[in-house]
Amino acid sequence: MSVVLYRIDERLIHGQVVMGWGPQLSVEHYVVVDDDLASSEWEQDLYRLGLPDAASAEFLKADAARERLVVMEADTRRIVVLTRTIAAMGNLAKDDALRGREVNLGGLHHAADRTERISYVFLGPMEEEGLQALVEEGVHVYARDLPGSRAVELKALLV
Amino acid sequence: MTNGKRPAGWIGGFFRQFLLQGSWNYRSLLGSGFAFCMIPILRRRGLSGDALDGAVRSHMGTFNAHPYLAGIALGAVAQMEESGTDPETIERFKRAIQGALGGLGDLLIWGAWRPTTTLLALVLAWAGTPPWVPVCVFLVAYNGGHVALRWWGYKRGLQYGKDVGVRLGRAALSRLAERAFVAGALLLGILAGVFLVSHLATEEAGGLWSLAGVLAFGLGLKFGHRALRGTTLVVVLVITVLTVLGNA
Amino acid sequence: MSLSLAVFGGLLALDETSLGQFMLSRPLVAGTLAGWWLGDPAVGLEIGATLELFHLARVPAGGTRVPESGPASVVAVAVGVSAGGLPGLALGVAAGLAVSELGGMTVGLHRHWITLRFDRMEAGSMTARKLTRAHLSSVLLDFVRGVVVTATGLVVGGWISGLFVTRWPLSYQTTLALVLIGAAVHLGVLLKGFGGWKSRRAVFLVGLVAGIVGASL
Repeated sequence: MSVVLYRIDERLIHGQVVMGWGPQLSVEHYVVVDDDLASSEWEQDLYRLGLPDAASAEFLKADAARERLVVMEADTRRIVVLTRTIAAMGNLAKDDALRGREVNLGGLHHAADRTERISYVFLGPMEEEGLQALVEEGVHVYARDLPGSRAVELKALLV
Repeated sequence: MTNGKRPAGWIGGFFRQFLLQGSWNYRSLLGSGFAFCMIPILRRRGLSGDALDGAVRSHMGTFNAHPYLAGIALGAVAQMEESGTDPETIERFKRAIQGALGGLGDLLIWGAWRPTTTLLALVLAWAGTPPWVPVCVFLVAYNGGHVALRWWGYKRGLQYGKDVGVRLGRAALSRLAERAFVAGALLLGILAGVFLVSHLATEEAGGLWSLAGVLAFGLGLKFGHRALRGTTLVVVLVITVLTVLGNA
Repeated sequence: MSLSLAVFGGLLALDETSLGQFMLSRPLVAGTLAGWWLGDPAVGLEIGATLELFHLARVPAGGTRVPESGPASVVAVAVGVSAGGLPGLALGVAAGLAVSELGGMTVGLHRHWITLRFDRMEAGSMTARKLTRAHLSSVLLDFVRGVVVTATGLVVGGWISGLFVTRWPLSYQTTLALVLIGAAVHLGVLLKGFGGWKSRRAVFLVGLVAGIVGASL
């Protein structure tokens, strides 16, 4: 059934994702796109600990993920693609790869030179630039931490 | 990894766990609470003054977990400190494990254990036992599991450190949740049956009340959490309107 | 009496997140304890157990805001006991539901206050002593918040229910049926949380039959 959700969330696989979105979208497989994690077995073990029994996960480097995107979209499983950063999602969206798709902002937390936009989205100049780039690639960006909560459009997040 | 020797100050760390969420905030979530719990362990390692303050700062990074399972991370980090693991690895460990500790705890405790033990008490309450019975049954059953889980998790963390992930026996935990789900569904059925017979069907228009109850149940089943806040609002509104329009 | 009840509400508020989480703050427990305090544990249990139905399915996943049950249950039972008889259940439950939503909002405010407080302390200058002080004073403030929520609920709830106590039009059975229909939505949500109709219907139906038979006997 292909990719049912693209999400940017610093915490990657965690409660909101597997308990909130997982059952709502009947997710079967999670693809985490992150260069550091793709080569770190012990960290992957810890992330996998958070998966429900029926779901699986794989960790890909950005380049591998870009190549696999077409395959993922044709996969029979229902897939969620997760990145830790806006830049990583931007990399995935390059050259119209995600044109017409939605990207969900699920959690970008406090850090130096970021300011609070809503309780779970903190942005700085770098993040804003990255989000603009996503929009220019034809992606619809919105924030929503859980399926039950209100969606916030990107416009409302940029000040 | 397992060195068998527990870091000094570990008992203090265990008890501070109960205060872990005291400074829950939108910046570091449980980060400040985590550092607060680490203080006795850091002190007993002989740290004081600037060294202690520096170590405390290094543990204040953003962290979130289910409060009952956070002890797994706390124990593991205490063990990693003891064995001289570098701060960056500790930070990466906390970042990687937090999602699992949150998700597992939500599933096992908030999703399964708490509602199931509560339902048991509610069935007793609606069966007409004296007030102290359901209250004591709930508190003893629930907290028996609660405190045992905190203790077990903390000990596991202390024992296995960074490798605690593969040693946790995730399968056993989710089997436990599964059993609680089944027991919970059974108790939920019993409670629904009691409500139907004793409280909805007894009215003169009992059939209608029962039908309304079944429909409401179906509504919740279909829409899930999205239906909750609206329901609360409707109940408060209906009671308010009825009262205001009532017998003057 | 009111002051000691408010302090009790404050202690229950602590149990909710800041200290322990032994679930003393759940409506079933807090309501019954408040009933004892007021000399009527049976009414305490009745209102507590009814309110509990409206909290059962709530999950604070990932720090999402949920209604606060401790202070609200104290207010609900106090209103219920003072209204007495017929209107007690309806007014108590309504007060409890309203205060739990408002209490949940003050939890959010408290967290914002802590956030600001940590923001103002420069990260680089944090010390063990400063952290301990900030952490423990946040816990203390949570207690004060619980006292204020409970006291406000007691005063306002008592006043409103005093105005309307004679006006409640429905019989006890009808009132209970009405409230239980609201609660049924929550029970449906809970079954979904337990795995949904498809995977749990067999065991649920077994329970349902057992409940029907048991209650008919």
